[in-house]
Amino acid sequence: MSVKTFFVKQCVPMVLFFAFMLMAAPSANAATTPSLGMATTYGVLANTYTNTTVTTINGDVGFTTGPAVAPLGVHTNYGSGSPYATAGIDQGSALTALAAQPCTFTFAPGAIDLSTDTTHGAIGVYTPGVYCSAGAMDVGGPLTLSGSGTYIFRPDGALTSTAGAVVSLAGASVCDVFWTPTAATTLAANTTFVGTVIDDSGITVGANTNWSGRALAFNGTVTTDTDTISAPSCSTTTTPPPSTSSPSTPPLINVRKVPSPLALPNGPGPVTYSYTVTNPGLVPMTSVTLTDDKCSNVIRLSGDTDNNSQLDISETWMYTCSTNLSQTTVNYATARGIANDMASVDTAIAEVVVGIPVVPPLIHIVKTPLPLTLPFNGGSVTYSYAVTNPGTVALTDVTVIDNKCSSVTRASGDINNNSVLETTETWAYACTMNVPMTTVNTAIATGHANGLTAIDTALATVVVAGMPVPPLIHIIKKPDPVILPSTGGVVTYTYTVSNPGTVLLNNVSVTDDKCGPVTLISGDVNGNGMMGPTETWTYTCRQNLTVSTTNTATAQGSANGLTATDISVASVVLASALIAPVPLLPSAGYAPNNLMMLLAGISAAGTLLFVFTQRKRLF
Amino acid sequence: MTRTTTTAKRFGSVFAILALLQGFSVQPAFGFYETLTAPHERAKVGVPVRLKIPGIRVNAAIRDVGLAPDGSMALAKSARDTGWYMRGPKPGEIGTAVIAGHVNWVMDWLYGTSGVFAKLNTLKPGDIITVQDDTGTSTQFIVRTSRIYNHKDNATDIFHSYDGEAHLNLVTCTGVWDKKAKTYSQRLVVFADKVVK
Repeated sequence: MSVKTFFVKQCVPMVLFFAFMLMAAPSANAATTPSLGMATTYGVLANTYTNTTVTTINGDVGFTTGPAVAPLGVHTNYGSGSPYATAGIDQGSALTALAAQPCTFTFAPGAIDLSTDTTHGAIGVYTPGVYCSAGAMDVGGPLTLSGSGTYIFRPDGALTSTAGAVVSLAGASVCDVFWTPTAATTLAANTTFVGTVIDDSGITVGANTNWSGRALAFNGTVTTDTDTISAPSCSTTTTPPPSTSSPSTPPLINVRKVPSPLALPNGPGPVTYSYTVTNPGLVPMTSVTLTDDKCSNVIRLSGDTDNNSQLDISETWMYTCSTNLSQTTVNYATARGIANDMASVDTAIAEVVVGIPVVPPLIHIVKTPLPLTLPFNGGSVTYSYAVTNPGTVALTDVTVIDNKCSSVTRASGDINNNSVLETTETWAYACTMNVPMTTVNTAIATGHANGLTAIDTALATVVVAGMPVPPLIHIIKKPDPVILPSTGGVVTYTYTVSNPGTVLLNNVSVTDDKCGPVTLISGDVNGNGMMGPTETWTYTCRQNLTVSTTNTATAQGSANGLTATDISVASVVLASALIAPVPLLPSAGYAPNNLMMLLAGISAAGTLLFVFTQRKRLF
Repeated sequence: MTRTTTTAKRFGSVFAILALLQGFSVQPAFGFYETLTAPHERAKVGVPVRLKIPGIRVNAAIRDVGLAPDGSMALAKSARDTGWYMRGPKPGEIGTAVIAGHVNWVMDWLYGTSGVFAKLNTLKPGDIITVQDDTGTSTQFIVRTSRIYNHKDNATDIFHSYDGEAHLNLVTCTGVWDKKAKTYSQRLVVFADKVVK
């Protein structure tokens, strides 16, 4: 083969291949700066603009409801006059263009501190790209945007900064930095900030913040406080497209995937993925396909408006696919299109977190001493413990201990002998001890389910030396529901108070450390205000919870100059608290090398023996 | 062994709670569940880089680790380093941070006991653990108790806490070597709480 033939047959295809790869693949994912249109000149664009202090806005200020104190600075346009409305439309168009760009990096689920994150690359340093998160983003300290290109920070949640945070540019342009949170933006005091925030959920700027960029919330509120915002001077389009395409123009395809729901906190369930396929290039594409590695039945819903089976530049093709997920799943959608004998491929990644359906366990113990009183010098007392499961999940590893009576033994109750405390069972324990003096002791019942621990306590008093009979009281608390949606909700606690003793209880009260008021509903059947041994009083309390909560109810009652007390602990958890999958325990050890140790020992012993026997010859 | 004696060993620390409960004094919730704090409300804590436990002569690097292919918490590659489960809270943040380390090393026959957590079983309540983060800040934790789990046990209690406090759990292997599963039969977990100054 001649050199020329070799060059033509081998090198040319390779060069063409690499040229194609350079043209098509990287450009499919490179972030681009959209036009802000008439919003370009606005430093603040809002429906309501709030300012009560001396703030400087270098740029146009747009609003329909104006501030109490007008900002200083130079504004060509101020208020709701033209081009305010057009700027609002352009803000929306820019946001759409930004949202259509695929993520180049997606943070792990949850809130992200951009300044300390190390999963994307060097700590505190970001290169051009589209950074997405499933939770809030916080600029917690220094943040450097390094290199020329477009930066898009897209938190599915709030955007915040920490007081004194500094965003700086190293080769990047303020015109190319965009922040598009889905919840409110709140910049803390003394923040040095860069870029354009588009956030109709509202933008609040802390005191003494210096911001080079724009606060765009055309349908929301912008609030400033002794700040300086300077809108940069940018051209409306940074990358003017070529006027015409040529036969060698490569195609560009873009796919975006959104799962619904984003998480299944209560366990396995159905998920529907929505895919948006667009053509950000210059030429229409044929043979457009979309596949998903974890969802097989991808269906095109709409988009080919002219029914020519080509993905035209102006078209957006919508696809959908539904599947059932049994565990946390990351899947890849791949869109492919062809034009000018070249293919363009883009992928989109989505993660759906499937939670573990965890129900908090409940356990309940009642303790009764017999007798309740003893003569002078005391005597033997037998404590009886009745342990039940008022929850909805069976309990394992149930234990009962008493701080004053050491040999608590189970007498009966495990009907099916499976060592699991079912919700229908009552396990009876007993313990006998000598009580020489008046004694207060506490029993603790513990049970486990779903990796969580439930505990209940019971206190009792035995009086020695002819004192009056001590009172006993018992309380059990049940929340309804025990699992709330991630956004929280109303919980009703029901407290059931009983008198396992032998004397009437006066002044019965129930309090809850995190809920009030606790209201008596029923139970005082004879209306005498005292709780008899046969009575069961029911109380309730309602509370709106926004976080997982453990609270303690305390019941007290008096008789014969003594006060009886009992407590009950219960928990309500938010579904969001259960989302994070729990890993298995790590394997943190190597196989013991007993054989190697034996060989090493034998070798050492042999060497010593050899040296000892040959010492005269050797030395 | 009776259920009672098993209980006494397993929940020895409960007696401390009992002492508080004596005399009808009512203590707040034990903290079996957490009042969850939204992530953005978490205190600003740096990435952990060094673990110091003077009581067992540990002064080791902390590596970020995630999940192993089998769904278990991964470990640092070196038996002399420790691994922080980076999908959970950082040590000092509200919630439970988990750091795991090897109990031994494949070359122990030559070098002696060299797993970073070889002496973890000797830690006792009250011992101090210090975690240094990448900002130079040190956070101290005090050992509350230890507990042994089977290697396939549900680990929710180890990776999650719901009392609104900052905790640190240290994990290593114990038990006997299971040739079939190629791992030790049990895990030793040391539970520690952040020292509030």
